[in-house]
Amino acid sequence: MKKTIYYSVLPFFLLFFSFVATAQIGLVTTKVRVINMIPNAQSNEIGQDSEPNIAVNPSDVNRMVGSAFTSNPTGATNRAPIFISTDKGSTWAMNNIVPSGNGATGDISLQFGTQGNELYTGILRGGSGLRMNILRSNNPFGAAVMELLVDRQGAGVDQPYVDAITSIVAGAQRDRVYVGNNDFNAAGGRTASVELSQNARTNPAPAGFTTARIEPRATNGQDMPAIRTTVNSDGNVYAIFYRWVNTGTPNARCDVIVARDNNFGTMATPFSALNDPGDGVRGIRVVTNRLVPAFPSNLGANRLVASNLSIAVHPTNSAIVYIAWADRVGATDYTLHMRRSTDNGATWSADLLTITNATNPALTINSVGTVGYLYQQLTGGRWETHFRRGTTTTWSDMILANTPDNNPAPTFQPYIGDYCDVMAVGKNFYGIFSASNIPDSANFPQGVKYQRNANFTTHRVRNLANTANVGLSIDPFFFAVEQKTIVDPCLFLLRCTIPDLSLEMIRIKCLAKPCIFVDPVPKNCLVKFNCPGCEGPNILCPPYYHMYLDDFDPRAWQVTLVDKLGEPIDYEMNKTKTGIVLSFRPDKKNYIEKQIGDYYLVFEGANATLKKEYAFKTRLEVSDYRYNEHVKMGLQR
Amino acid sequence: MKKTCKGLAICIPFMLLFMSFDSQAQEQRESWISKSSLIFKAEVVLLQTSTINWSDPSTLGVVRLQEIFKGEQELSAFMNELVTVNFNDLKTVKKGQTILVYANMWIANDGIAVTEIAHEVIGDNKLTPDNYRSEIKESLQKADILDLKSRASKAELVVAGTILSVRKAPASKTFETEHNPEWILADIKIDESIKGGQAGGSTLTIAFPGSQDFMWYRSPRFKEGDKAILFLSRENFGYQDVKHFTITTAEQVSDIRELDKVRQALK
Repeated sequence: MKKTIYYSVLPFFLLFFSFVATAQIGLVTTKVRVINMIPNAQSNEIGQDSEPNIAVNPSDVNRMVGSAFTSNPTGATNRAPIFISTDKGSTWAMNNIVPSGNGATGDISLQFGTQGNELYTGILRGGSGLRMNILRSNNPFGAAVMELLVDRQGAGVDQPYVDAITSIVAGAQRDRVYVGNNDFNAAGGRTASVELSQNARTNPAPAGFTTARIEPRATNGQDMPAIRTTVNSDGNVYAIFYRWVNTGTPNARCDVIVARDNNFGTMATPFSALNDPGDGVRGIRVVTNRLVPAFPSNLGANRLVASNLSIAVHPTNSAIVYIAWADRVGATDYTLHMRRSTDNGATWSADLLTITNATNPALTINSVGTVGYLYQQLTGGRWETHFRRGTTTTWSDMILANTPDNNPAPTFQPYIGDYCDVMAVGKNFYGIFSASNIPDSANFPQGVKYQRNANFTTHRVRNLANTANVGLSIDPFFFAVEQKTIVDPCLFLLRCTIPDLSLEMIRIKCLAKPCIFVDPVPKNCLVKFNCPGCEGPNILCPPYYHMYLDDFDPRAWQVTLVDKLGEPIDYEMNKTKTGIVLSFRPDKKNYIEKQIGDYYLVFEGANATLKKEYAFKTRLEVSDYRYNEHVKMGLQR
Repeated sequence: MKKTCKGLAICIPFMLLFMSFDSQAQEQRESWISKSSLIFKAEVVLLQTSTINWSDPSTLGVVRLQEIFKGEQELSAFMNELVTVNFNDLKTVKKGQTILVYANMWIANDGIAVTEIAHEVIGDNKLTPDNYRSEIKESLQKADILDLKSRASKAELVVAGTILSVRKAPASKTFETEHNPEWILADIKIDESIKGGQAGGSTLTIAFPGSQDFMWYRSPRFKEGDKAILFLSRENFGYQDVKHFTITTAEQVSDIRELDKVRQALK
């Protein structure tokens, strides 16, 4: 059993009331996390990890996967890596499970079903040109290579982009999967296409995937690369694409088309639920004959390839849809437009937001209808990564990163990506972007955490041994914007108690509801029990720590483990005959010899009896093994 | 082979049997090598646990890295450190054993983990502390030859040549994507034909990508005067299938200084 909790003001609280319990007054605030995803073990990495994508498992928000143009760290060519996290994005690892011919992938996007654990991925297979693979995995956190469902090349396919939803059909879960792609195998230059399956989870390859051609009009030989979809649980699924109307590159003229299917893509003619009133043809032309610079065109050091489209449907009202696209409105600009429809895509608002010289728009809508809008704007030779929230007229604006363009210089294109990504789970937003990895706090106004070795004083990234600088590069950054209930930093002292510091005992008393006690682990090491460090050559360092709480009453109290910033950490909780045991292994950066590290036990007494003292016996065991193996091997005292 | 025999009639069958086993073991090792990007010697330190906090450690073991035979760049930072191995069968290893691990990278986070293709225990009949280096070195050399043969088998032509000139290919594309290879054409003088019917002294035109797109930026590039051994084939890359032989991966090019080795391998 695992539980995570955040305390946004924990550092403040700990600073002033380091071992004083506190009460909660239930103020809701927004907590932002920005994390450099390159693992510590890959501190030597200098690749250009651009064009990121993210999938959060709605069934278990702790589990996330990310992707970027990242090569297999061993140079092996048969598999490419994805990034994985099992602690809600706090730490990331690289897992080489994507089939490849050159140790990397071309374009890649990812999505979980909304129930279950199946991950779907669309890629251009590394080393194979414009060869699209659609893949699935029931455990992207394991070692098995992803299963191939669709393998298509022919005349070539570009930018497979995945969306997925889980429906209950006859009592069983079905993953409906949509992969927008620009398929040059389509007849007559009507290349905008969607591969779709109504039951992709269990069927053997090709898992029910069929091709829907969603471009009904004549084109200038093809549509542009980006075809994006968004799906609502009521069956409405929308697609957006650039119809290339006329004029050669780099000054192509395009219409922005939105198409809709009202039954998960199973209409007799898929995506034919919206007809344009002007020509009576399926697919609404939201805007027409726009100049879309591409092939070749640049914004700063990043290329432009007509891939800047995004679409998001309201999760509980499928009539509400937001879109974003890019075009040129003046002589040299590259402008993002965001609009909204409240009638299932039939009519569209004027621009709700117009952003000049920006790229990589990504839209999502959370469970209460708040839109999350991620984009990267070039300002004064720097990339500002913005995340905005709102609905119509008022939009908050948060800068996640402000990093230099062209430092480091590009090693290939795209420099930061032809797209980035954001998604909502519940009220919270989770996203990913790529940016220069210069470790400078000024570049990350919301704060940042690096897993890889970095020196924020000299502004250099460091090698694995932390003995020398390594070259700057483009890295993927995860971010989370979450609504949290903040802890009152003990404003009402009468509602606080001083925790007991006796040997091998924790005593807490709730004076007012709700009450929360924060118990620093290093103090436990000083007072409650001995905390041995790394002793001997052939042991894990840091080891696993198993903290037993005997006589713990789980009906009255919940206990969790957080780090010094109040971030969740990866830990296990198991029941014992006499109580519970919390097991975890500190990460190397936070480990402190003989003190374990700056971690905090947090006790929440939601059902605790007021003014009653609860006493838990506590003890610590140190082990090379996780708890289950520790017990199986008879190492438990 | 440190064996003693007292009579030829008895010895020869045993010797033949041992030679057959040795040959099979060599072949198996070469197969493992061809599938592995990492080969290293390590001591088994812990079983059923990991340096990467993996939730299911039932197939995992922790080893101390002692010597690297393949994957120096990726593993050198972990020399004498603990590394996690995802074993095919954990029952085949014991704490304290010294093993040769054939593996690929699996996980990198606070530590690293590799997935084994196979392992051999140093100290059993086949490998001893005295012979493992020479055995693995010999196998690596044979695997290198096999690799050359495999690359050659995929190629229609294998030639040693000199680049005479390079130029942009005329526009022939039918579709526009960010992954356009932007083919560059190179005229090559064939200095020696190793596979295929191309006559020495003749010229041939090949194509290689000039694009800086992620899909192509690692492709070999050529300039006038370059000499190389080229493994040439005609491949389908989708919409822009080029009519010429193409070079798109590093695997299709060998240094001209390896000419003797290539000749020997492909004899």
